[in-house]
Amino acid sequence: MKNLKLKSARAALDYSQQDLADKVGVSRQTINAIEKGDYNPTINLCRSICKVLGKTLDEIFWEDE
Amino acid sequence: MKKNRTKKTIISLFLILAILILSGVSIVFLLKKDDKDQNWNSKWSQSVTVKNGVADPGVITRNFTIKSEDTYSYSYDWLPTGNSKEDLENILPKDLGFVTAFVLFDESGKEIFATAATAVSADTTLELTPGMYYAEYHYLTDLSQYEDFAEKYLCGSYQVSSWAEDMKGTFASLQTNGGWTMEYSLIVQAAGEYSTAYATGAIWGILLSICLIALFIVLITKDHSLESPKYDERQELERGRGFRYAFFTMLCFFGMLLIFELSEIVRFANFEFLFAFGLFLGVLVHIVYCIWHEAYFALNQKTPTVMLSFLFIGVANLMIAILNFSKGEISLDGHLQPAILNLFCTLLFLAVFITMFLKKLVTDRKNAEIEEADEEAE
Repeated sequence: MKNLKLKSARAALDYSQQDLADKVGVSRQTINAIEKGDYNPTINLCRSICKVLGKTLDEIFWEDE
Repeated sequence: MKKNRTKKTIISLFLILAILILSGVSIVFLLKKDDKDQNWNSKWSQSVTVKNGVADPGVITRNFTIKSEDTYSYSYDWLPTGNSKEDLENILPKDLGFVTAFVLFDESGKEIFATAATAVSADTTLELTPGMYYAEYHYLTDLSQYEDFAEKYLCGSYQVSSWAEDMKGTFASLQTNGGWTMEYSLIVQAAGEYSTAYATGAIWGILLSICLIALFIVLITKDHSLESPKYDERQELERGRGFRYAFFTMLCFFGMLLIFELSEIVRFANFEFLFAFGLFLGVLVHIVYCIWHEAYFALNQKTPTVMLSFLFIGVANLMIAILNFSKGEISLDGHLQPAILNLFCTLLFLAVFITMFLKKLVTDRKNAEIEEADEEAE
């Protein structure tokens, strides 16, 4: 399932996938895979992404009812 | 930073010094090889004429002395002039007028070793004691001479008939008149001493290579410390899967190989090649899987530098493969030889480029589709 919340949060800060990847310390392809829903990140990576985007885990990674 | 640079300079100087010392020692070992008085190396030409099925000369003799008891490597070749070892398969009995039968005696007249062939290039291991040794070369032109020789030296009377049966065709196709010049080579060397010198030389060579590689790493890492590749969690997961698939591929291949070996199904390659090919398959699966899942190149790796080095290794292997092809070392008796692995190495690096290219095509297409879908949703 696609993670559109991550994509929009990233776009809101005007970050490219590469920018976010560099700040989090992963490859661009990993960010791409998370956004496309091809990869479920570990809690550590989720926390790193949320810290960079200034969001909570719920805001980015919790599914809507 | 300055401290780091000083440390690296000291390491580089130490490695250069180690390389110089090891090179010196290697040269000493290389020169030592030629000092052996136990080695006997003789090469000569011999003209043989056959008139009405009678060879002239009928027998020639060479002798050598052994000074100490040891295990000796004994190499013997005889080939018609103008031919090399590689031409052995093409030398047919109909091109010659005789079969050369060889027998080695010690000074008491006891037979040590015997063989017979139209042309040969082979070696054996013999336990020799101090004393004089005589090598006799008999020129046999008909089957009865061969039967006498075989009975006396080769196998004992009970097997002569079957041996003679095998050679019947050979003697039938020999020429009855003509002249030939044969090139002979007889090399006797103390196997133990020779191999120890070589083994020691090889160890120094390996140490030298390690020092060179270490120096190379120190120089190319420039201001970075000796960094290991860094992968993110998704890449590590995919690499683990890649290793698993590679392992199972190798397991399947070696399982099949075992079944083929046990069932004696016709073999198209020698065992060394097949074993190396199994490893090659595993590496190929791992590389292709990792590239396809974008987990091959580490985060701190510069892709163009790596690709450039791949290109260099690929081209170097291709050149060696072409050389092997031109020498005809690719197959022997219809069996593929390990020499073809250079070509497979080239294909391996080619596979890296092809996979990367296909992956890029597929990714670009998928991204375009996603963008289109996003735009439509907006």
